Amino acid sequence: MDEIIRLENVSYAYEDDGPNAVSGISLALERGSFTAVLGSNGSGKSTLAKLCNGLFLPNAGKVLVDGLDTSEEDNTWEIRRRVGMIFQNPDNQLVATVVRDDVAFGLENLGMDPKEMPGRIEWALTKTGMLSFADKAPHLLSGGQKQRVAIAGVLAMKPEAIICDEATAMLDPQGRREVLEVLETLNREEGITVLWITHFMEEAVRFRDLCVMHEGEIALRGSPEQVFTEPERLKQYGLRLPEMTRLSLELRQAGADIRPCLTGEELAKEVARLYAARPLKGLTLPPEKAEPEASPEAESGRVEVALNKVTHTYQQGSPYQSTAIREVDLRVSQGDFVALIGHTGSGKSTLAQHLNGLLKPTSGTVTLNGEDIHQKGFDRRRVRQQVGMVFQYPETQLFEESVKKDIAFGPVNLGLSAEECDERVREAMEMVGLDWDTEAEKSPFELSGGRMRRCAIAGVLAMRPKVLVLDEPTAGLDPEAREQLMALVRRLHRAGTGIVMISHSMDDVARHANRAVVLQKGQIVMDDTPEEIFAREEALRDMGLDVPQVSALGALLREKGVPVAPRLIRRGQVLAALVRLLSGKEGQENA
Amino acid sequence: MLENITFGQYYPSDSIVHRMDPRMKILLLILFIVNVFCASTLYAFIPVLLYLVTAVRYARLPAKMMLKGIKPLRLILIFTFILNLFFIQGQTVLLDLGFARVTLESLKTAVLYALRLLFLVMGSSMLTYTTAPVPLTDGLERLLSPLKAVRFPAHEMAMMMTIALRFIPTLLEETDKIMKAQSARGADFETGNLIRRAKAMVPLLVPLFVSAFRRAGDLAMAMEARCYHGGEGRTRLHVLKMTRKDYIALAVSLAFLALTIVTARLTA
Repeated sequence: MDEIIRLENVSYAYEDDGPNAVSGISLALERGSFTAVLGSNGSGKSTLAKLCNGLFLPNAGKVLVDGLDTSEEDNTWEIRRRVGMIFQNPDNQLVATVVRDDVAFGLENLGMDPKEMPGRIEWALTKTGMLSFADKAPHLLSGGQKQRVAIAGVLAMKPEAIICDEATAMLDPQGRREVLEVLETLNREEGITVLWITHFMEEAVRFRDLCVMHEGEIALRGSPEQVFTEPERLKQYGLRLPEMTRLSLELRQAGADIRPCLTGEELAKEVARLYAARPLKGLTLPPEKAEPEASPEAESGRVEVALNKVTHTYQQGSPYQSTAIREVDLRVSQGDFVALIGHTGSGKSTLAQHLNGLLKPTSGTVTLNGEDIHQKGFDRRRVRQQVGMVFQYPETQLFEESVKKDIAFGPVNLGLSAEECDERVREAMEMVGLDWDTEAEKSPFELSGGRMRRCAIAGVLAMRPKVLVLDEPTAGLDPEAREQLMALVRRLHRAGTGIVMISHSMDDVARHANRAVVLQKGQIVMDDTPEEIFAREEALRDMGLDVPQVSALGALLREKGVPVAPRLIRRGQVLAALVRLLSGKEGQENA
Repeated sequence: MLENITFGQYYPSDSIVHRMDPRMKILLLILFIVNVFCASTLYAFIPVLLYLVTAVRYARLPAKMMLKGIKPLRLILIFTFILNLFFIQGQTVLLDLGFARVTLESLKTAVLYALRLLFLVMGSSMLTYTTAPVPLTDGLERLLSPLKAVRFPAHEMAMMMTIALRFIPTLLEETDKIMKAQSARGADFETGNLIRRAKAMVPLLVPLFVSAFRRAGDLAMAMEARCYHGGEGRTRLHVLKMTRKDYIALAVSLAFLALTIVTARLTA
């Protein structure tokens, strides 16, 4: 067998006497293979990646790249040429101010003859579909485009393998698709070995070979079909099943004879097969867990923010003038759970920043309980207190020496007494699930990624907002942290806080929101319940937006003649509907 | 939006001056500075002016832009002019205010210094108007590379400048975001006295530094992964090459320098 990367019993620790980040791993990657490494944060998957091109050298064991030992210094540059690497943050890996120059960077380092460079650069940019951006500045590109430039930069060096270390974690769904598709093409057409590190299960199903990492070891390895039939173990490793696999397993639990499926197409086929043989006997639904209803918010003191014909133009009067939102009308009150969806650049963030007066409308008004917040004499602090705002990656705004002090920043700014501040900090920490006794005095920078984010959110909650705006609160988190965070948002909503959430995850929107607002080119084009909005699949796809996986499944099933009702957007609903259909009960109900 | 900010004052065009080798342009700027200092009489500024006008025309730069470039300096210009006007001693009194007086000599010197300053600024902006930041750092790196023999880090300096240029827009965007995030928590960056305002910057600066360090670490790793190991054995995509136009420009500049020196001698 022809192996490109071989790890033999490799261990690595960040500190000499610290715990192993990777311990005793043996792994061989065949030339031309397409492998994904899955694992929660801290499972050692990034460390594994960096061991494969000599960025980290093993404390024990051996790493061989094309037969070259990474521990031998003379091999370093040849190894890194053969094994290229794409990192997580698209901004932090581009060096030059022009795309073309950035692609040249690696070639320049190799000391290539300048005459050969332009041809190689053009080839690499063509392969990644970025040729038309060759003379653009990187900071003007989208995240997905930046990652494709980074891939071109690695590709130009004619590598044998490309390692992507969570290369899509910071991208929107479209960027994610772009990047993965480019790598699939390179694997197919150029025979480049791909090692793909991720915690997105939906990406993992597209790979032939999966490695699941847990606590520095490879805990599971196999095809997606093999790995995803171990839901209990995956859960223990902080991972989750892909939505469709989960649904197929739930159907199996209900008594249907169905194999675990990875994609909607497979599942639709399986269900259609069962449907043809209906009625099936002995199907039972597991008892549903009843979720407590949202508490009816008090009628008096109900807070409502409204945008009235709001237009916002950036840099008005300059040549760079651009209108981000145009004549937007939106009303949000306590009790709402509004999902704000739209393509990147559709104006979602601009709109959100009007809700608490961070941006002032170019025309139109923003009102809080009917009062114009930009009128003279209106205390801006009042709106900042009532409408909280959690930005994307909020942990980047932490600055204090202790968790407690950082969370108290808002209340202190409100001019509250020390006792009052203290009480609010306790309350906020409890809400987000941070422990007062052990974590209040800790530095926020010592917390893990997920907890750091919760600390930052606590800083906003300590202001006791009535409406909370969240800009992609789960971005970059692993499945478990994502689940915990969404549970927190739900709890806040149940306690009577109005929620406005910008999200690219339609599954999250379907699961949690009771209203969805779709933005396109700065205008609100839909404002309805998620059920109604996701029923318009075609219109959404035209805008470059997805529908929840279960909605897409519903459409596929109807195509195949299985009459699932439209407007089912949650997995539980579809499961119940399918069980009824398959046991032939649907007809009786209708009769 | 912040992301649209451009850097330096590069004015994109395809003129012959734009296409010149950046190394030559830097050399010509040095020559021009010498030229300005050789102009020791008012008449001697005529060739300097002619030279600048010729250069601007060949670079196809709008005159308005040249003037706009001086605008931020007008205070310094006026200040030095007045200072020279009143404090240079001379014989021929033109105006006596009692506490200070203006003489013919002081007027001459004041005008001369103001002109020098003016021409120096316009000459340097010629370089930045016609040379994009990347070729400029490239040119600097290669002009300074002989100094590597005395351990001057020419390559490292140029690399630092390139990276700085690359990251300024990113960091500006980040500053904007953090500022808004802290404002949302009731931070106030605008009111209060100096000390209060300086204190208010802490919640902005700490996250900014943390992020800049993280980015630096990430970038270093990404550069190493792409085989970066300093300037040694490194080739460049953009090969700098002097052509005929560069040598002609050099000859023309030398001729003007000679003209200035002769005029200065004759009118001294």
